[in-house]
Amino acid sequence: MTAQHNTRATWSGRSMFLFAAIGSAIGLGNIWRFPYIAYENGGGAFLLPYVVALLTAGVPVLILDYVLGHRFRGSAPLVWRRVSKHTEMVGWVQTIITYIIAIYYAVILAWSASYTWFSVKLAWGDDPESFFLKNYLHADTTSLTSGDVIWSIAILLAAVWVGIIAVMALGVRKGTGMLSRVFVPVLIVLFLTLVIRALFLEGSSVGLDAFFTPQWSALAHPQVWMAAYGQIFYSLAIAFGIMMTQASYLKRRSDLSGLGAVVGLSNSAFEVLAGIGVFATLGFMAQASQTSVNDVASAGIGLAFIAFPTIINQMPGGPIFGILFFGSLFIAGFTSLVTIVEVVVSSFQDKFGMKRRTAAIVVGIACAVPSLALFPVATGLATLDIVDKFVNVLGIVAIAVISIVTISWGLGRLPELRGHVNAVSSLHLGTWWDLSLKVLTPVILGVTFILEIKNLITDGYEGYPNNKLLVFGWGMGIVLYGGAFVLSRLKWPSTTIVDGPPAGDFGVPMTGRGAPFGRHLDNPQITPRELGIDLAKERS
Amino acid sequence: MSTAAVIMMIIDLSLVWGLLAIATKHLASTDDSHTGTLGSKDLDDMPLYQPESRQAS
Repeated sequence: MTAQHNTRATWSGRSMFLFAAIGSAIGLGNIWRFPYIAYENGGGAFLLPYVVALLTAGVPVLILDYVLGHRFRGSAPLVWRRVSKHTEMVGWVQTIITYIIAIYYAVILAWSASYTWFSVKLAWGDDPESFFLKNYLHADTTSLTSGDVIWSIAILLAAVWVGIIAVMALGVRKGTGMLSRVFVPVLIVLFLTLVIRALFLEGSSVGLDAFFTPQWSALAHPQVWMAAYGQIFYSLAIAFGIMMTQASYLKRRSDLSGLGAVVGLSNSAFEVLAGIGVFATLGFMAQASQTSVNDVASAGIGLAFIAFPTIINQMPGGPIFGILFFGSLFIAGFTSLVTIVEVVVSSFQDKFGMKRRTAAIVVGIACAVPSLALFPVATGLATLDIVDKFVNVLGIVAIAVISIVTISWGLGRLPELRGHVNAVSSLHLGTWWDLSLKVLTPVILGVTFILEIKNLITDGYEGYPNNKLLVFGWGMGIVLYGGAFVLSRLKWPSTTIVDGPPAGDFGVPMTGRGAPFGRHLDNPQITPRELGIDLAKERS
Repeated sequence: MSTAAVIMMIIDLSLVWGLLAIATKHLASTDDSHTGTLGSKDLDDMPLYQPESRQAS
């Protein structure tokens, strides 16, 4: 048997990869989660545990994602199948997580698009909370499902999915790559404008004072350190297939650790900027309503769709500020959603031998149908909140622990992967990388997972009825692991190499347990040039 | 703003943006085709798989 040349698409260069990776990492969480987490956990002093978490867990796990994608060159399920014949299911769990996140994430983009338009005439009126929950969402938090369709949201949501399918169908370079190249700089310019405007608002210094005043005593609390690790983890979008898939499109000679450092730090740099913008604005609101920043500080959907419209009502030039804020939110979300859906499209392409365009349409429709059925309805907000908690918080932490423990303790592959990173990278990894992945990260994430589960079992979640939590919360566990089990039983196309890195081992032999390498070759010691493989395309 | 808040803001921004600037400058100064322990070796002239890779199963 001879080798089948892997013709996987590649980014046109470093910059395209960087824009896509940064676009993926910078999402809604950077804007609406980080500022509040930092404020609640020590203010200015929070940056110490935050940077420690970034360097000891964030960047190491990011590089793990990169090396898995780069060495095994495939979608998440294919990468894990090539790592070992027993681990394909891990990749499918990651793919299904991204599928579920995509389904509800899109509706937040539809809301953001609506609110960008609402900003022009301040359509939410004097009571933005009532407008958002009653007039706009018709929110019903008790029923299991609803047939009360909100057509204005449904139409925008459908448009978001058409846009996503179009980008996906254009492929890695012309679709995701070009989109990120345009949208990421636009996002940065928009957000910088917003931050500068916020700094000149009356009372902005009050907000910044609250945000940056260090509470050093907070550093003695373990939960502050866990919050820092949690924030780094969620915000970098690591360990659930996104970064792995993106790295699978890198050229064979790519500086993995150098790219990882830039992407990780870009994400954090944007978060700190978001903290300044958000708290300068909250300071204005606190001063205008003659209350404290603590009374107006919030996070997530409440911050974006209730607190910000309230502030926009009171500030001079509010409509322009609203367009900047919700426009930024939409762009940050869209660039992230593209890379989330890419994980699923890539998995379908690999597993079912689909062409790019076919996979984009099939996956796009498979996402759009449940998205349109479940979220632009009266129960959409509650369903979104529950699914987000169970999949985006619990599900990701669980699969992160499983995947890291599998690769480090189960298969003992870290020395081999470190060797691969060092073979192609400018920043060399030492054994500290192994230590971070074998001990530090699993312990912190494991404790986080146990505490989250304990809280959910004892306290429920946000007062939602049990049947709703059972279906859209705990039931997601069955969807994730049951679905992954079924999909991992299906056969790969006969031409797919499944027994190790498909394009050679980069001079780094396998040192742990897993699939034998090169079984698809008669003579594994042969060079690509002797084999007549044309790899020029990958280097172009 | 209090002095402590101003100092922390400067430290926080300098730390994160400074590290980003250093990482970006470093990446810009490297050439993918020559970095790492592979140096300037051409992957096309190297064996696809090392002998140990086959033995390790």
